[in-house]
Amino acid sequence: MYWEKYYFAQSIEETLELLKHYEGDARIMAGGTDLMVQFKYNYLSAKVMVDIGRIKELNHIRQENGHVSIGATTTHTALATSPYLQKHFQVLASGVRTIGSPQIRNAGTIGGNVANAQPAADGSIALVALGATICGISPDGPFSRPIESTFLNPGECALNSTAELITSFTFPAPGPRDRSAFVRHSRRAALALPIMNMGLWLRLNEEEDGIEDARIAIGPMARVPFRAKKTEAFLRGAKLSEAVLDEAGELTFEEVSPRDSFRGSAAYKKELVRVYLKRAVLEAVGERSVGK
Amino acid sequence: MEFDIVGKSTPLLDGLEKVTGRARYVTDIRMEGMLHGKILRSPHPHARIVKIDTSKAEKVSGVRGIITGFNVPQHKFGTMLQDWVILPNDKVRFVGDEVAAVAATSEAAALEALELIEVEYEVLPAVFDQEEAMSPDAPLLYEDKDDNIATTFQVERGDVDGAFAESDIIFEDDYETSQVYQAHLEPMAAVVAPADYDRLTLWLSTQVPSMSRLRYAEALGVCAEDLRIIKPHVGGGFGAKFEYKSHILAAVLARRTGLPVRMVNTRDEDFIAGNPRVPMKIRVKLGLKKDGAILAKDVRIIAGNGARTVYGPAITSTACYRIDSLYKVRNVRSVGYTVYTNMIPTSCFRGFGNAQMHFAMEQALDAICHENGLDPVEVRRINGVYPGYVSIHGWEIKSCALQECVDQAVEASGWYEKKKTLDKSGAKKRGIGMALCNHVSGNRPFYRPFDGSSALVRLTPEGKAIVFTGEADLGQGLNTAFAIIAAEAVGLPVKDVRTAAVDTDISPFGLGSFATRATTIGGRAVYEAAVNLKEQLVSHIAKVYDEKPENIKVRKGEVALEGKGETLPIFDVMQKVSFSLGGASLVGQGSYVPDTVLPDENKYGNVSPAYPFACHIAEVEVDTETGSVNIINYWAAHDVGRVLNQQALEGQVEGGVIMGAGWALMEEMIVKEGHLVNPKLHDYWLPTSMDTPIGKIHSIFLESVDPNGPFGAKGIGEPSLNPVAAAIANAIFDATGARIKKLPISPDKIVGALVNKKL
Ligand SMILES: Cc1cc2nc3c(=O)[nH]c(=O)nc-3n(C[C@H](O)[C@H](O)[C@H](O)COP(=O)(O)OP(=O)(O)OC[C@H]3O[C@@H](n4cnc5c(N)ncnc54)[C@H](O)[C@@H]3O)c2cc1C
Repeated sequence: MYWEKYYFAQSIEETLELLKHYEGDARIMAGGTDLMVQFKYNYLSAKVMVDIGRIKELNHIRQENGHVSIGATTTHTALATSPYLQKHFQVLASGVRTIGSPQIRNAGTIGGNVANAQPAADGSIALVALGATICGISPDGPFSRPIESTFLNPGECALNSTAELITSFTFPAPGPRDRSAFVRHSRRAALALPIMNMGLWLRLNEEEDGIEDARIAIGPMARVPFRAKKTEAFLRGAKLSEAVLDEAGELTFEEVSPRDSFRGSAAYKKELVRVYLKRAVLEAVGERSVGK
Repeated sequence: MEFDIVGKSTPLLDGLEKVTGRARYVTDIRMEGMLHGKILRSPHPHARIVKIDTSKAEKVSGVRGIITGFNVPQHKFGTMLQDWVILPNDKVRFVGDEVAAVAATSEAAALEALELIEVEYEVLPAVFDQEEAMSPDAPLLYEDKDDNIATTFQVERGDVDGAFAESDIIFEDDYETSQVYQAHLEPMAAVVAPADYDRLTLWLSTQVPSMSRLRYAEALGVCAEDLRIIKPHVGGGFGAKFEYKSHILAAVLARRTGLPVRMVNTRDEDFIAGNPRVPMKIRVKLGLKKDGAILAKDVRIIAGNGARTVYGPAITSTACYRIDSLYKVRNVRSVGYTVYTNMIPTSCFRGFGNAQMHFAMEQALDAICHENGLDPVEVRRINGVYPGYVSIHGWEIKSCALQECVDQAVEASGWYEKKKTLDKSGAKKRGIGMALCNHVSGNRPFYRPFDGSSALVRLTPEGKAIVFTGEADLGQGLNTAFAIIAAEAVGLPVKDVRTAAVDTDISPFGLGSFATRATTIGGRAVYEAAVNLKEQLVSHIAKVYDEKPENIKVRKGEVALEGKGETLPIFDVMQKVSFSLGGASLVGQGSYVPDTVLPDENKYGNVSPAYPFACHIAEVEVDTETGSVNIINYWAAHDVGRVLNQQALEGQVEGGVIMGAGWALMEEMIVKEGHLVNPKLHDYWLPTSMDTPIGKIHSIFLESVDPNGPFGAKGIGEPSLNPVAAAIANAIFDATGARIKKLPISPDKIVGALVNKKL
């Protein structure tokens, strides 16, 4: 096999002890859907695996004290099929629903998705749109910080998975005027990384005919999940109308600068962003709420 | 005629063992002492081999043999041209080219040894595009040749220039088809073991067991009898599994080491060194009368052969002129160049060049109709061939229900209504498109010595039958088709008949599964053998039971002795018959030699005993903002001659349509400077079940009862794919006005065409 020892950690404490004991030679294993590929192609190696899949408290979806908490080892299937998330956080439920295939979603976890730090990871894009906080424990003690600060470069995470453990992600509990949506474009309907994916979160104004606040995350448009801040600023305070959405799409088109890749050219990705920004808003608020 | 089995749905006889995982494939074979073979492949598209040092690799524990171009014979051999060697000692010509092979006691040891083989290369300039490769200053792949043109095919009949001069409409355009991977589930695989009498036994995942045997004998410098080929279950071929280098390397290693050697491609190796579809640049010029009758056709094709010849030249020639038996054109000129490039060698893929030409021709006709206000249905009707038609190249159409295919597809799809009413108002636009197709069921020039087949059907003392054939089931259901044919002809229930795995020590010679020939030609041989068996059976029953032969009826496993008014189970009867013959089985033998001819030097002569036809209609929805294409409905009306197995035919049609849709819309081998960027199933966008229009593919079968096919049956494998890409392209044009002439019709190309810029 690829490793010499394989531990099933029974608790968070044991995980940290094992990581500490092996001083960088041990790595956290969650669903293994990224790791096994990386091992096979020699992108990565580790002498010791610490499997965190059996630690109960890392696997949860709950609302507490005005916050939602998602455990790091919650699988994509669990998130996608959660009635609570489907009702209040479409962006997350339908975002992870697009990942790989049923088998991949059954094994893959949200923690692994974020730790793997791909600029278009569907789970990461959704969490960025939700303005999530990443919570964990490092040798220096517990930490929590904005999720966006963990992404450094494609595949490079500020978090060190040979020493630190992500325990959960948190974001504010749903408000009555909060809406969200996830849109995605790929070359096939399953088992395909996106050419473009977009997570959108909105808070409507009191009259529900305009936007009070917005967060937009798009991948793969930069080295890390991209926040369309100019478009967000434009949408804040804007009334919902076709014309506004067209203008917003144009702004997003302007502010992204993707690169050519074999999945799609930069020019095509920009075209997609324009189209999907509008579609995402319509999906989030419902077609009927938008004036002509 | 009333049939007991033919025409009904018979589940594939090996289906259960396949879905339960019990079926064994070459990749499942493990043997005492078996070594694992691995191949060192070139990292360069074109380079001179300066030196190969295997000394470090030899020291790896477990390594039993290493071969390179410096310790194997350097004689040339090949499938069509003599451009293969076992391993080269001069140059590598594509990324993936075989440089050395190792056999070791474990896969890990073999891989370790590969890493330690030191090869010094002198990198050479390379050429990737087949058209560029024709240029006089392109780097030469084979220095003993004047240029990179492997072969040129030319045919000209009638008065082409005169016919163009008489034409009211002249149309000319360029089309380009892509190199795509067959993506069979089971990768290329061989296990080769030394056997008694200094022979070798080769278990191969192949569609051509007997032909491989001849070729490998030539490569190994032995006679064919020294090789025993066994073909167990095969996990798909689609044209990829013809003669293959790694089989030969496994055989050489098995001989050198005296031990069995297993050589199985990884998926990456299959991608970079399999034999994908021949890419073509096709220029079509057509001359027509005002009403759409085609007077003249002029075609120029530049096809990418890759770095050595597999079957590229035959595929190019097929693209050049097979379609002249679909439409009644009498003035034709074609030239097809098959050109070496520093790319993966290309070869057969369901459709064999005819599919490429259909993409061009059927779009050209659609464009002509659109530009001249003609009805694409009518134009196809007036040009389509009919029973009794003899093509300009001497191809004799016997059974033909092409017109009926058009009628039924048009009717079932509601074509005329949809043409008028499909919604094109919003961002998502609907469209409908049509394409016709023809194909062969056998291709006389493919194996020059002969075409034909023979079979044995053995009836055991228990009254069960075994069919022996050299034709190859690849998972398409051939073994079940043969069982159906034998069961129907003898009068047995199909469950009591099975088809044996091909074993060249036992099975008759069979050319194999290609050219949509196996059911028609192989099946006819099985039919003849079964009829012969039945005659023997009846005459023995007559003797043993003292009954007049005309009073003996065998049906559904029962023997009626009408004179005696008795009906007996076949088991009882065969026990008596067999015991009266010292325990013998009855063996029926049959052959079928089609009355086809090897085309002369001018390419004249009927190549196939039967010709299948089809009309496909695609209805699509195109998201004009994103370029996504959704197949809403698909109608496939096929002249199959006779339905042997309804559900297997539907399976072939659905598979062909989905594979064709993948080729049309999704699949792409993205190559940069000779390196394949996406050699993984994750990044190679083969349709998944989520992408397939499940329940939306409507098969319609027409039975023209061919005089040559078994019970009148013709083939289905390739015709089910040939028209698909064109039908979809035409539907996209109908929906959006975007005419995409280069495969794949990817979403970026559609959006690009609509906003008039290259994306
Ligand atoms: C065929 C296939 C298709 C895929 N398709 C998609 C897709 O469409 N979209 C998409 O976004 N992704 C896709 N993926 C990627 C993958 O499934 C996800 O990124 C998945 O969420 C990773 O989670 P995991 O639990 O499997 O992580 P693992 O492979 O177990 O771990 C990944 C990395 O995260 C670290 N890690 C895991 N958990 C923690 C933790 N709690 N704390 C600290 N470090 C941790 C590990 O050490 C490792 O470095 C696909 C993968 C495959 C194989």
